[in-house]
Amino acid sequence: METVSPGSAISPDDAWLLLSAVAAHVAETAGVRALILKGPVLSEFGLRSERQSYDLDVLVPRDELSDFLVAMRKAGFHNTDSDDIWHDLASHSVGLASAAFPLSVDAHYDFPGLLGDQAEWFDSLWRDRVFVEVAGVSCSVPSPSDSVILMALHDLRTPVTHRLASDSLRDLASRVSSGSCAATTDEVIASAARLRALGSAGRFLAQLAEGVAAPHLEVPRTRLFLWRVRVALGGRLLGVALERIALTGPRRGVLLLARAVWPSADDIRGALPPNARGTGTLAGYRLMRLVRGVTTGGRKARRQRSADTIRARQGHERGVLRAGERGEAS
Amino acid sequence: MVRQASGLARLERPASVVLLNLPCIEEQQSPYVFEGPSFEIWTRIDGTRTEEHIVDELVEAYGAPREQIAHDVHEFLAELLRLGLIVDDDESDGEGEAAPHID
Repeated sequence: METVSPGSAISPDDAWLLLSAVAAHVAETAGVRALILKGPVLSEFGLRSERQSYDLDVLVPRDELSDFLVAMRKAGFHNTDSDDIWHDLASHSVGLASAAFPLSVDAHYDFPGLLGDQAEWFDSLWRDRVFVEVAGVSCSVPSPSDSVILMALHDLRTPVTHRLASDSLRDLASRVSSGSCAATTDEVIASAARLRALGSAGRFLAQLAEGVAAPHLEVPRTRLFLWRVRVALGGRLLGVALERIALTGPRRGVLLLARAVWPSADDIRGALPPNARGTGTLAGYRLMRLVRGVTTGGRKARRQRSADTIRARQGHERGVLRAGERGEAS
Repeated sequence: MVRQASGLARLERPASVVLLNLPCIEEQQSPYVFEGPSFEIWTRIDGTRTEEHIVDELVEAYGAPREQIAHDVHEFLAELLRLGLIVDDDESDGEGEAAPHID
């Protein structure tokens, strides 16, 4: 008779479902509003065919992020270390990994392409959210029409896989316009207007109906301009970082830059596994970021995600192996 | 009478179940995977069967010696209780309180 013990490897698909339940539970317990993005839910909405997810994306309001991260750390997660200054500046999410799961969690506190006030568009997403039961736990997800806009913006800003993104956009537009998904064209256009994404999602919306994109209705125009610069630069870290600094404002932008160049000991400790937080490690980590920062500004932002996922998977495999070595794996 | 605790995340498959003890996520951060005998016992913990009933059913299903099955079931249930994955309504005053012993 086997004993009750954790440590058995679980598949990435199962991990996604369990991580969604963990994120929803942790957020609710901490009083944080968290929306589960993408993943198998999109297939249920008919927005794409089934495919494997490589991480769990969670969207939380910026001013609730800190509470969410603290609660997730208590649940065994640690920040995935960012490679360098530019990745930090370009990032709109915090990566979290646990040795118990083969996937990482991306806690997003911003969503590029939603051009209005962050608190306003999050409130809109939250107000219109729907509930989906995942692994027996009720999870909040954006409504089907809001999900369409988020999917479209995600594809529009990822030119590193330009052809795939274009195919994905075409497929999404086809599903909406043919009525084969849970969102109608009118609902999607209304969502784009509410979320201030008529301009940024214009290329997608134009595939749904003529004359929809109306960027002049959106304020401020600077955001739309920066979005277009970002896309034109091919998603390179430098462009994304500049967009973020510009949107942050001069004072906070300087603080952001200073923190990226010279992160605090607490920031670094949060990014490192518990067994690698010595003084020498902190100094080495700062130096590594500075050196890497010189060369990676021209790289594309998307690569960070795959590196995080690989690290999370390696951590998971090590965790399973350790449990097995102790004879604990069931 | 024992029953599965509420608040668990669970993925139920035809021959296995994956559980995560969300109410205790700070102490129990890894999922539990029950297959084979542990799955057979888990599926019978439904709030209507006693430990004795579960043993009876497994003896009938597998034809193994009753003493051996009774011992295994008891050990397994005691561990589930300790972890808070099940609740013994006869021994617990309230939801989620794990009793150290079951009959």
